Amino acid sequence: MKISLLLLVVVVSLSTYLVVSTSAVFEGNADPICNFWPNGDCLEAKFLSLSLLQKHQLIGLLHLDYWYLVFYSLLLGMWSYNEMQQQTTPWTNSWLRSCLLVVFILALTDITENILLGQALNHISYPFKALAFVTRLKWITLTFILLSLLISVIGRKTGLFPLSLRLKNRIE
Amino acid sequence: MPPLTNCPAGDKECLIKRLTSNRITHYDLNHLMEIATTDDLKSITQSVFDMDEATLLERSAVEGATRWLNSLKNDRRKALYVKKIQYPPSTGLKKVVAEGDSWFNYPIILTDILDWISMDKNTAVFSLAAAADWLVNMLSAREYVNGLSVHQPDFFLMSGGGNDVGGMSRMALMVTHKVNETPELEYSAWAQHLIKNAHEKPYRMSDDPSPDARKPTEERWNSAMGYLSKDFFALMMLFRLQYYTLFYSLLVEGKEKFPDLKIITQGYDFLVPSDNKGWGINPIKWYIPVLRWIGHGWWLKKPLIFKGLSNKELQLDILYACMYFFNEMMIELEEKFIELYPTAQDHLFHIDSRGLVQPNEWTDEIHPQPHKFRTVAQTYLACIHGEVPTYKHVYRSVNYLL
Repeated sequence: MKISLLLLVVVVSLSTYLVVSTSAVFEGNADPICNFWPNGDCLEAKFLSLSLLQKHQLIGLLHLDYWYLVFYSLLLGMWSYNEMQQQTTPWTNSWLRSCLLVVFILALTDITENILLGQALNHISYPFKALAFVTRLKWITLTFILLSLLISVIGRKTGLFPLSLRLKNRIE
Repeated sequence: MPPLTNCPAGDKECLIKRLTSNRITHYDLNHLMEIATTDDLKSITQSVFDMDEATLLERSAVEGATRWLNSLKNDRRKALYVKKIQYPPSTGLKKVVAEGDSWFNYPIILTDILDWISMDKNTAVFSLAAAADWLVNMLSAREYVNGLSVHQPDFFLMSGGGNDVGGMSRMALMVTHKVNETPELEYSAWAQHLIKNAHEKPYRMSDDPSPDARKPTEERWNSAMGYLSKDFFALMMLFRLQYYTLFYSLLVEGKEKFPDLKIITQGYDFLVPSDNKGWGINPIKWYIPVLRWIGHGWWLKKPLIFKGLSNKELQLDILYACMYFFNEMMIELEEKFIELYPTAQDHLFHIDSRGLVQPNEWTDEIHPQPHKFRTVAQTYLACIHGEVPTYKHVYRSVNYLL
């Protein structure tokens, strides 16, 4: 199996897990927008609706989350790196290099989100506005990376970009 | 008329002593080049680097995280190499073995020369290159010998010498703290010959953007010349001997073993001493301040400051002269080698990257940004795929700018 395909399977699985686990945090949520593009108020309302048992279960899950956050970011980073090294034009190469930075930001965002959530669940502080901000940032960065990877793979396979095709023709 | 020789016939010790003090005649240098054995080279290396071989190899060895990062990239390249060999394109495949430094293997972030070459579907690259590797290390480890024997490539790419100058703050030894009344150039008939060569044999191509490009810029040249030390000229002569030995072992002694092997050597551009942190607003260039945490400023600028040479223009001029010499040394050596061994004609090439990278196009003091590495890679590909050279055996990178 090609490493890129393997990475694709793993990344898709992990993305699904990410979506499912985020949804689980706000179980019973009637407003799906709050899951993916939340603000401080809606997060606070969801948090207050959680039972004590649910909060305890989530605290247990948080420790596990750190493992997958590191693993997940590493895989995305590897995929972006592999893709970057196959881009024959300077601008797509630079674009994918920027993805490496975005993957780093995503990892930081994910970890920050976990820390802030842990603080709320442990009743240390209730940083709902900050939590909303990092959740939004997480989705922006993840979308940016996955879209960039998708476009670059398609571009590479099909010669979608005229510049890339010209270079291919020139080399051939 | 300068004397033809200053040493009694067969007195190698005298020749070596004169080389290391930059008082050797051109005739003697050529003579030493042809008679020097591996042990002689070791002895010269010890004198030039001012340390015994074991210490030198220990200090120049690539170890720890750098070694691991180097292997990550090389392993990926090997997988790609195997794939290309297994399923070659119908248009034919050129096999390449490459040995070199960070211009050939810059770990992770930069897409370096070999990365760009690897993207050509008609070229399979087997890389032994390692960031931070010294020429002296490459030649003593001789990893490439096994690589060439196993893979029988069409081309052997070699990039070495940069770290021998810039590693361990050695740039400080290449200059003197005040201007020499008589520049060391005056004592080196060979170095003068290089410059004469450059003036008399300019690059001449109908589409060359600057036919006089091979001549040094007088103002910069004159500004730097008084500061170059005898150690610099001795190092250049050592490089000449080392590269000669490499060429001889592969193209003359190894002719039966590698009958079709072609060698391409790497010339660096005019490096830029700097300690600027590289912060800017362009997010695409995010990697510049990150990578400038690693060694930037310590390779060139600070060693020059140690010698009291703080003027920015002077620093640039000194590196201009150094890299000018390095390229001319390689061009002249290869010309000489082809003259001595005509069978090496069309088997020995040089990539001249001088003038390619503009001041704002460097990642750090010694590495261009990836798009410039790409232009250098295209120059290599032109050579690999048999395009007509700029001048005899030389390909100029500026001619391959898109």
